[in-house]
Amino acid sequence: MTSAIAQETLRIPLENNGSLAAELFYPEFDQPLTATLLCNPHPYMGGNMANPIITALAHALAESGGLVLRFDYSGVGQSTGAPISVAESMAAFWATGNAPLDPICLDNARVAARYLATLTTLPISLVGYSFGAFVASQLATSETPTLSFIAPTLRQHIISRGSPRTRWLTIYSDNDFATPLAITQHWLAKLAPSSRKLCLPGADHFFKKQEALVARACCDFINSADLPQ
Amino acid sequence: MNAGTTLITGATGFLGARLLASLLDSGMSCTALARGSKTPAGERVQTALGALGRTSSGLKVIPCDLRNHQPGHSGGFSRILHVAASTRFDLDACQEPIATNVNGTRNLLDFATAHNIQEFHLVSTAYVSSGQPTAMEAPANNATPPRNAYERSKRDAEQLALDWAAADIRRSLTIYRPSIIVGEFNSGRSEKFDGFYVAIRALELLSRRRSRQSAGPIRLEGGDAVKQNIVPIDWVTDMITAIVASPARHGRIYHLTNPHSPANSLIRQVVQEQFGLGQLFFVDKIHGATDAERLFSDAASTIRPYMAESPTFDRTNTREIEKLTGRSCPAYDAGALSRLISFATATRFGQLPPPALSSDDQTHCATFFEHFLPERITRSGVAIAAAMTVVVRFAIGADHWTCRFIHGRLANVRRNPDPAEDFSYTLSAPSFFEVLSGSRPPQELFFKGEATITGDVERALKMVMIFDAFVREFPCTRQSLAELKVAS
Repeated sequence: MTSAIAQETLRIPLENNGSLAAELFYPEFDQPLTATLLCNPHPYMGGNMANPIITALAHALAESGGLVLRFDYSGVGQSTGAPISVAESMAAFWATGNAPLDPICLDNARVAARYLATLTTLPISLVGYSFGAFVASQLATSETPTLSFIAPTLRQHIISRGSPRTRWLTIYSDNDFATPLAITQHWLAKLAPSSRKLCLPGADHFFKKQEALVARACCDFINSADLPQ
Repeated sequence: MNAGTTLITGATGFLGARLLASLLDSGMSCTALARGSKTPAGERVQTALGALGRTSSGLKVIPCDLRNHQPGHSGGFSRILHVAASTRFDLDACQEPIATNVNGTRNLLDFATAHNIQEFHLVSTAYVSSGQPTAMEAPANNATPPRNAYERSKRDAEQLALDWAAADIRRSLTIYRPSIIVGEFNSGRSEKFDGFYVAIRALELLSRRRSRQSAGPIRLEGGDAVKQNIVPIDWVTDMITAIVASPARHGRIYHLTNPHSPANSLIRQVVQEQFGLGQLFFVDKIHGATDAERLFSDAASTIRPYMAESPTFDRTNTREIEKLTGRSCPAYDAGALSRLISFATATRFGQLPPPALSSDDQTHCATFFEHFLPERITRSGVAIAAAMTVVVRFAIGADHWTCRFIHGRLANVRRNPDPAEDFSYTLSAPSFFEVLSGSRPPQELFFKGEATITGDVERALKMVMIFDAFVREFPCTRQSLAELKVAS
């Protein structure tokens, strides 16, 4: 059973200058049961809030009774406030996989999380896809109820293991160009046994045409249901 | 997401082959059901998938003529996706389209019952409620009679499926009602040329005849404001795939129709321009038809009712899926219609293989890669800063340009693949020019499946964004490339 959802377009002011373009999803007629912030892939890998995985997550979570916030990082879409040289930042990303923009993305996510906290008293779950998994891991605190990583970029970023109070889910594939399977498995082996994992065989970093499956799995996890078999 | 195996019918057809490929892409296990004739069923499925650049290796194919038999198989399927259909409008001597659409559905439903398959997906048509000004995403309204044997057969098939679902509360029936399916949106590519193409084909024939006859105005029966509800095959495929993969959205009826369908007047303008037909206009009724008018009327007689009425389709359920997938049905402007017609005429309505790039587009691409890019890249802030050393191939239509960049400079361009390439992009010419003009971000093409990457995906994606930054610095269009070519 799905329920009607409302969708609002927002601008979240940044502390110094500019603002983030964002969208809020929630059940139209019911009080939200969960609150979740979605963190996008890297802007220089095409990451924006219209990404098919992020879109599927926003709808699925809201339909299952959640309050969901998605946003664009500074310099992406209608978001402003990144006083950096795009050419130099892109060049650094081409050469190293990391960009001067990265800390700004983290700050953006913190601002978005704080904004979401002003709208609800519910604890905020975090979902991060690709580079967004790194962003989400940096935001997590002992108050974060669930942390969901989708295709985390483990080769590029150190993704911390967080608080033992937080429930973890990792969704990955066996053909991810960004993170070879062995690296993911090695990383997963060090997580607490209670952390959940879901491997989608045959998928790659993008989970094309499997967006609904990924979203469903995250949704079930955040809503404390079991993962699909 | 639903596990288990999907039995799909019609896998050799226009929609069925694409759906099969799409379901396999999404990781679903499928078994195809196909008629065997002089050519075995497996070979026919292989040919259909092969035409889409896909392989059928490992795919199980059950030979069966559903018109007369249930599949001779032990079952074990989790769901059935029934796509097979006859799109013949008039009843013929073999009782088509009733035999395929009604008898075939009945046999398949009996098979589902016998093997305890509870999930059934039926591809029908948006015109089951023809004659109604507004068609709802609900069981067909029988208040008005169907306009032809095809509509009747689809209405009857839906009723059989609804009765089947109503007989057991555990059963789930999902009905897909596409309107008039045409070729891919960006390329116009199609393997089937009925429906919308019937009128186009008749007008093309007329234009060739008229070059040998005296010119004069041609009247067509229909209305300028009447809309043709055409939907691209790639969008229909994506919608059905998304719904099949989402059990929460089963058990509904979906109008896979176009909320922005083109009016006859726009189609008329495009056809006039494309075929050089001077005076073409619509009238309610033709009195004293000329030879040319009779020729068109005879050739397009089966689709005449569709040229005179444009019903409204409720799309409540479909809109939900569009929001979920971020894939709205595209609007048809003159350019999009022109692509459909160009592809159809270039392949002589399916008699010839798909063409390579048009000579104009080939020239524009060559101008971009061989003149525009090498010169502008030396002045591009992002290219200079990134200082890429990489070999990348662009496959546009059937043509290739391989660019070797050394420290941010374009060292050379060749019109062939290069074994040393790091990665390649494949996309259609219209998409490529949309990117060059800055009207579409290249990353969007990739995420929406309209462009593909082979090779080092990570570097290719990084370069997509650098390319995006480059075209913001130096946008160009077909026209500006043509002017550059003349100037050089």
